[in-house]
Amino acid sequence: MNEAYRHAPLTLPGTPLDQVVRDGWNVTLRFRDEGDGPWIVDLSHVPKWDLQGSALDRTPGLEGIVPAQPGSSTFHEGWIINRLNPVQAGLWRLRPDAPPLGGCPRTPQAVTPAQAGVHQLPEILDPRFRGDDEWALEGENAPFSDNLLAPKGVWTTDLTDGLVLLALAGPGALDVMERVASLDLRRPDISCPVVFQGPVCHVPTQVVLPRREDLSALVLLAFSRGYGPSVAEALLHAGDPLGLRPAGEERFFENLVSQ
Amino acid sequence: MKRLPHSPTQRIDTRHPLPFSYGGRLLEGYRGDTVATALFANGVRIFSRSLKYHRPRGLYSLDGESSNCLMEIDGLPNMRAEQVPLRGGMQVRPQNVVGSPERDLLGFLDAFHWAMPAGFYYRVFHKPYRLWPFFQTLIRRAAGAGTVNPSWEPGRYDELHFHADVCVVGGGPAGMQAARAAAQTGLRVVLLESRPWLGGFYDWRTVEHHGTPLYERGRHLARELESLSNVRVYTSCTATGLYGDNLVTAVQEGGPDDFFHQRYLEIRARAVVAATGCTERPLVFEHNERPGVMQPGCAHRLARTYGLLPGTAAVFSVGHDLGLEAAADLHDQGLHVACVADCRSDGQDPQRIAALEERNIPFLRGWVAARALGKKAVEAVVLSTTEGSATRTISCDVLAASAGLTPLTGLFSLARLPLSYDERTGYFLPASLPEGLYAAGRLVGYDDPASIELSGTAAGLRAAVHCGALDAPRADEALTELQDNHRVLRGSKLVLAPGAGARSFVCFDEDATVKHVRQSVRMGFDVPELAKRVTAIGTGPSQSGIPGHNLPLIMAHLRGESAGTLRPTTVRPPLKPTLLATYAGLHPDIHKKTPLHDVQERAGAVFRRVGVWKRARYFSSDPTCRDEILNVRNNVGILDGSTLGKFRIFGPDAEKALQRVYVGDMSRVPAGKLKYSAMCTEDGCLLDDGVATKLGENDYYFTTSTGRAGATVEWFRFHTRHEDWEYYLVNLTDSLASINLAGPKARDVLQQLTDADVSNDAFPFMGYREFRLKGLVPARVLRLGFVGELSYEIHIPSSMARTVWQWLLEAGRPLGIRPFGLEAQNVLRMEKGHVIIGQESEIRTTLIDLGLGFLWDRTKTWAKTVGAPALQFAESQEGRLKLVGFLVDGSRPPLDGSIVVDGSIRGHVCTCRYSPTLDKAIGLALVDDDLAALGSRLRIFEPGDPPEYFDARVVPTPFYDPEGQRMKC
Repeated sequence: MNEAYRHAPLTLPGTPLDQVVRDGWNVTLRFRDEGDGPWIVDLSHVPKWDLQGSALDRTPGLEGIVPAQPGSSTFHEGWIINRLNPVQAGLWRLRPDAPPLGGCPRTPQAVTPAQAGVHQLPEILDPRFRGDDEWALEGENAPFSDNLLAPKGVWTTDLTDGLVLLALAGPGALDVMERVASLDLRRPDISCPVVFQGPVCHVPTQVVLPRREDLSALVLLAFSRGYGPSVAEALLHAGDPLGLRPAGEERFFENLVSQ
Repeated sequence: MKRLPHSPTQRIDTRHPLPFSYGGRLLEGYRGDTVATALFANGVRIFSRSLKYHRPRGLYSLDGESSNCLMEIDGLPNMRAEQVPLRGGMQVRPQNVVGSPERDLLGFLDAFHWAMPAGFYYRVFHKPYRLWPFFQTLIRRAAGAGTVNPSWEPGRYDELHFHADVCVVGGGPAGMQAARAAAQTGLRVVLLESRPWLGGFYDWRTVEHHGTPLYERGRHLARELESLSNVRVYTSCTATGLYGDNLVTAVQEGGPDDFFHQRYLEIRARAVVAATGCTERPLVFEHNERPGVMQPGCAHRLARTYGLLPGTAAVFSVGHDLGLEAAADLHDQGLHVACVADCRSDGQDPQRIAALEERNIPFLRGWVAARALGKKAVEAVVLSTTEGSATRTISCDVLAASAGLTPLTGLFSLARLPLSYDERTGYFLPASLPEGLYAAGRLVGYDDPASIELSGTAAGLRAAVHCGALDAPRADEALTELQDNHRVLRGSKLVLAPGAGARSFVCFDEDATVKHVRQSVRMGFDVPELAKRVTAIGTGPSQSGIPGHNLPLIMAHLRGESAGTLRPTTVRPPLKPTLLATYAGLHPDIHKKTPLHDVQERAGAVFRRVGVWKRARYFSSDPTCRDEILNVRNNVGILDGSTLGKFRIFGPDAEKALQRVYVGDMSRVPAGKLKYSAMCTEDGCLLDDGVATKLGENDYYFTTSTGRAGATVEWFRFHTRHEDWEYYLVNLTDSLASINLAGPKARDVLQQLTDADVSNDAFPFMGYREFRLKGLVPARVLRLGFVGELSYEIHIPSSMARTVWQWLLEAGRPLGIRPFGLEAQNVLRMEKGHVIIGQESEIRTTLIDLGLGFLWDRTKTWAKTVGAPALQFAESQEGRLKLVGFLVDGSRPPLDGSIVVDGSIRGHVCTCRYSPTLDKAIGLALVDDDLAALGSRLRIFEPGDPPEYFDARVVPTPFYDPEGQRMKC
C-alpha cells in the first residue's frame, strides 16, 4: 500500500523534513533542527508481538534467540527480543529490512488452526509478511483471528497497534529518564541490552536499554497506546532543559548502529 | 554597610552586585549573598514580627532554624531569607507586620502576653461561648504567617529519581570522608549538602589542622570528591525524608544558573550515612530573641562567609569551644568583644582561652547571659553566674548566645529510631542504628577534625561492607582506631539561664516561653509530646528547629527530674518546609486518549475525564443531548467506545479460568456468537460485565467495562493463583479501537463497507463476525444492543480507527449519521433499562439486586465461581435494595444521587434524565425492597439551596421497546 491509512498514536512537535509511507504508516525519517541530542523518536509503527507460552526459549526456530532469563533482552538481525517473565516475551522488528526470525518460509501463508500444530514460526514473524495490510493482498475475507495463530507451544498476538514505542537517544537520554522514572538504568552489574518493567510517568512501561554510554545512550519505551500523547508531552517537558528534541527514524538507526 | 576586606573564606563575589528591592527601597547585595545577609548588609536588623506578640525578630541563625527571617520573596510568603540565594531583581517584603517591621501597629500585643497562657485558644474566650466566634475571627485575622498570593505563578520545578549504593547526608568533613571512602570501593555514591557548598563547619574557620587552615582543608576534600566519577554531589539540597528500604527524599534549591526553582529528589540507596552535624542549642534567657541576639556561629559566618561584622560591640555567652574560637576570630576581624561568658565551669580548650587572653578579652567561666536589654534591639546584656548568685551588666549591640551544641537528628526521627540521652555529650541520639544506616562526625559527638574525618571514613567503609563492596575487617580497622584513639566531646549541660520566665522563648515560631512550658507541666502535660500540643512548641514552620532538644531538657528541669528522663518530640517529613509545587514536580497530566480523540475534537466534542481516559461527553452545547439521542433512535449514530476493555484469553485451561471468574457457564460460548455474562466479587456484588466469544480451540475474546479493563488480568490471576492452569491473557484494549454504530439505519451504513452478508439472518443479534472493511481493514464486529437499537460494535486495529471512522461517516452521510457522546449513550441505555456498573451498582449491590440473577449459572459449582456462595446466600436474603425504574411527576428530573425518603432514607436515584424519546422524566433507583413493587410511590429529596422534593412512581423497565424488537430486527 502506498497510501498512509494508519495513524500513529501521537505526533511529535516539529517539522518533518523527510517522510515515507511504510505498511500504511507515515514514518518520519528526519525532522528539521533535530539539535545535538538528546532526541526523542516515535517508533510506534514498528511491528510488535507478544509471545506467551510455557517454554519460549525452547520454541523450535527460536532456540537461543529468546533470552532464557526474564529481564534480559537480545538483538537478533534487526529484531529485539525481550524476555518479560517466565512465560512471556516481546518481539519488536526494529529494522524494516530485518530478515525473518528462525528461517520461516519466504512466502507468506495463512495458517489454519489445523496447520498450527507444526513446529515452525508464525508467519507474521516473517518480515515479508507485512501485517494486516498484506492479508488484504493475500486473500479475501481471510479470518482476522488467523493472525493470532502460532505453532504448537507458542502463542503470538500482534500488539503493534496496542503499544507506543518511543526511543530516547543520545547524550542526556538517561538524565531525561531520571526525571520520569525511578528505574535503576545505571546499575553497573547489568549488561545491555536489558529490559525493565516499571512506571515511566506513572504509566506501566517496558523499558529496553540497548546501550547506556553517556554520549550515546539509547532507551526504548513501550507502553499502552492511549497514553502516547500525554507521556510524550511529559517526556518533552522533562527533557526540555536538557535539550530534548524530536528526531526522525534515521537518528534512531544512527544510534543503534553505533553500538 | 561596608563589607570586610576580601578573605579566602568569603563566598560572596563583590564584582557582581545584585540589585533587589525591599519594602519599596532599592538595595544591593552581591552574588553569593542570601537575601538575609544582603538585607543585613543594608542595615536591616528587624526582619519580621512574631506570630502572637508581634515582637521584633532579627537574624538569629543562618540555617533557617526559626521563623525569624520568614519573608515574602518574589510573591512567595514564608521563604527562609537566610537560605534563599539572592538574585538580581528580587522583590522582598516583610511579613506578619502591620505597618513596618520597625513600627508594627500590633506591637502592643506584647504587653498582653499574660492574656495568652499555654493553650489559651482552648481555654480563654470560650466563656460565654457565644463570644468565641468573635474572638475566633480576631485571632484568625491576627495569626498566620504570610499571605498567599493567588496570582503567583509557579516557576519551573524539577524532579529526579535515581539509585545509589550509598547516600551520604551532610557535606561536611565527616560526610565528605564517608563519601570518599565508599566511592573508593567502586560504589555509586550520592552526597547531599544543604548549604550551597561542601565543607560544613570547616568552611569559615581559619584555625589550622596539621598546618592547613580548615577552610582550605574543606575545599581540598570537596575538589577531590567532585573529581570522582562515581560520586554525585548535590549542594543546596536538604534531605527531607528517610523511609523504608533507605529511600531518601531531598529538596534542592535552584541557583542563579539553574533552570529550576526547586527540585525534588528521590534516592533509593542501599546504605545511608548521616553526617548532618550539629547546630547550636539555643540559650534560653529573658528576651533571648531580641534583634542583636544571634548564635555565635551566625556571627562568625556573617564575618567569614559574607564579609559582614555582626555589630560593633559584642558579648559572647557560649557553651562550646567553637564560641570561644568565634569570639577571638571576630575580634581579629574588627569586632569589639566586650566579654566572653562560658556556662561551663571547666572543660574548655586551653588554647582557645589563651587566645582570648592574648587579645585581652575578659573571660567568665561559669557565667551566662540572663537578660537582654533594649526594646527593639540589644543595647546591653545582664550576665549572671549559672547559679544566679551574681550579675553584671555590659553594653553591647550583639549578643552571641548559645547553650552548647545539639545534634541534627531529624533523619533518625524519620527512621523512627528512639532517641536516648547521652550523659557525656548531653545529646539525644539513638542507642543503636539499624543495618544500612550509619552516623558520623559531629552528629555523634566528635569535635576535633581528626576524629570527625576518621569517623566519616569508618562510616563510609561500613556502608561499603553493607553493600558487599568491602570485607568487614577493613572497615573494622578504621572503627577500632576511632574508638581506641578518639573520644567524643563533653557537652554543656546548662538548661536554663537564671531567671528564665515569661519572656524566655523556647519556641520562636509560636512565641512559646518557659512560662508556657511551666503552665503545661502544672496542667499535667508531663511529656514533651503532650506539652507540644498545648503550648504549640515545635508546631511552627521550622519544626522544632529552635525548641528541638531544649524542650525535654526544660520540662525535666521544671519537673525536678534529671536530664534524659524525657525524649524530644517526633519530627516528621519534610524536614525542611517545601513548596507544594515542588512535590507536584513536573506534574504531567497523564491520561489516555482514544485513537479517535482528534477526529472527535474536530467534530466539536466536549471531553471529560473518565478514569484514566478522556472521553467525548457531548457533541453540542446542549447538555440534554436531545438531537444526538433522537438521531440514534431515528437514523444512525456513531460512538467511540474504544475505552472498552478487550482481551484475548487462550491456552489449554482458558475455559477453566473463564468459568472461575464469570458467573455464567462459559463452556457454552459458541463460535460466531456472543455470550453476555458478569463477574462478581467474593461478596456476590457486581464487578464487571461484558461479552465473550470463541475464536478457536482454547482461544477466546472477551470485553470488559472501561473501568475494569486495567485490573482484569490481575483479577484472573488472583482468582486462579492456587491452580496449576495454563492459560494466557493479552490485554487488547489499546490495540483495538471500538466504534459503536447504532440506529435503525446502522446496517445500511455497515453494508457499504463490506461485501460480507450483514443481514439479520446472516448476522443476527448477539452474533460475532470477522471481515474486512473495504477489503482492507480487519474488523471484529459484535452485534449488540446497549442503546436499544440495531447496533454493531466494530473492533478494528487502533491505527486504522480514524480511517474507518471517516469511512463510516461518509457512508452514513446520506442517512443522517452523526456522532454521539457518553451522555447521549447514558440516556439511551437508561431508556432501555440497561445498567452501568458504578452508576446503578455500588459496593453492596449484588447481581440479584440488579435483576441480573439470570446470568448466574447455579449448576457449575465445580468451577468455584467467584461470588457464587455469596449469591446463594443473597438470593433468599430479605431487606436488600432493589433496582427499579421510576417515572417522575413532572418534567424536571432530580439529580443523580438524590435520596429516596419516607421518614428515613429508603434508597437513592442512580440515574434520572428527561427522555426526549418518551417525553418524560424517567430514572433508575436503588430502593428498599418494600418500595420496589410496581406502582409504589417514591418521594425523592434533592439537596440544594433550596432543596427540592420530587414525586415519582415505580414503573416497569425497559422504558423503551420492552420487547427488544428494535435491536433484534
